[in-house]
Amino acid sequence: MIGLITMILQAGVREEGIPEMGVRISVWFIGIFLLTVGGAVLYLRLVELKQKRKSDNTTGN
Amino acid sequence: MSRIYRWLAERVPSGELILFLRRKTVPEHRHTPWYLFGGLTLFFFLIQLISGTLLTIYYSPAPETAHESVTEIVQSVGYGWFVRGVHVWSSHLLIFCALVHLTSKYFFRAYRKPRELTWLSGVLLMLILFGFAFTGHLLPWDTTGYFATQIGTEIPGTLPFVGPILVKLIRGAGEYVDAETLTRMYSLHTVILPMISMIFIFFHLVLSQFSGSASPAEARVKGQIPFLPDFIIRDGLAWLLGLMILFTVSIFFPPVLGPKADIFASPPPGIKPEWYFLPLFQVIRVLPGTIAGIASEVLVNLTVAVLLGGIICLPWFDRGNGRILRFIGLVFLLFNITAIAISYMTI
Repeated sequence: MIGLITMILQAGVREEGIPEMGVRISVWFIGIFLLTVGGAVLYLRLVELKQKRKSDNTTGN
Repeated sequence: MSRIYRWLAERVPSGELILFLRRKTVPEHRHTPWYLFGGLTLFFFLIQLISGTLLTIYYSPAPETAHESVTEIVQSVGYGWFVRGVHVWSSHLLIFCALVHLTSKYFFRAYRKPRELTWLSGVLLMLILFGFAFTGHLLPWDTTGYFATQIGTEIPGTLPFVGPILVKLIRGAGEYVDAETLTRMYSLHTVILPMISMIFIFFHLVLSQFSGSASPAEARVKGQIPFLPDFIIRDGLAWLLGLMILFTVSIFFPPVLGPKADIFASPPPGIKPEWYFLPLFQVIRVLPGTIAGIASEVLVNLTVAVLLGGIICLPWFDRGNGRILRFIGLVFLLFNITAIAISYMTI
């Protein structure tokens, strides 16, 4: 718990050259949004392939 | 698009490779997620290569300029702080994933025939990764990196016969870590180790593709997943998750550059190596100076050498049902986790 609190507090500390927290949160949000969309597309493709494999097996039997 | 594909297909014989990957399968059981750590290790290694190459554009490997160039990267170069953060954090994630991958292969007993060479190349790659971590620590020429390298380069010096030669090889002619050491570390970190690792990664990948994934003896195999495209997509999802974690920690916890190293000052209190070297550091710290008349550092070095020899030769002496080795593995794993936890709580 102490470690977690220290980490959160450290996140606010910044060196010169590193953007402010607000800017960093915005960049993070956009990045994570794009990665989530990519992940969702891949996941849906995986589910589709799984179902296709299952139906192929059933037809084969 | 199809015209480009046809043009390429006529010149690059990729059809055979695709056919091979389509035929290749991965066993599906409750331990299958552990297979993803191999791909994740490769992913973080590629990120290291890209971010490291970007950092070399502005980095200057001399004691007078190294710290200033890293400061410039963080403060003046556009997104330099982010690239440095990605490089530092992905090194931690890379070593973590490589350790998990190696440990899972140990418990799966995936080193047995016909995978001996895959295991051997994997263990050597792990050592190369530690080499990357050790050589990279000095490059910013900050106080922590400098004194950690000073202490780290003293450790092999206690080895009988080869110790002094090893220290001279790493440090150069000087008695302390100096400009010559920095140049050597830079050359190792950016040229020699990447070249060696590329060769080993190639062999490791080719060997693992041919020998396939080993299942643990007790696993109930439910079926086989086609490697292409099913397992590749699973790998892709793991890579995306890894990228999310890396992106988050690099943005919110950018690594702080310490003050420039003063080579004439005494080491500040609380200097400790990175987490993956902590078990070794902790053992050296708690042992008395001498045990039975032999310096404890010599004993620790010899133990590490024997342990390493044992890990490398594991495929050739695992002949039983593996219970003893599993027990040894569990004890070793618990010891390492405990040593890291104790180090973080006490240093």
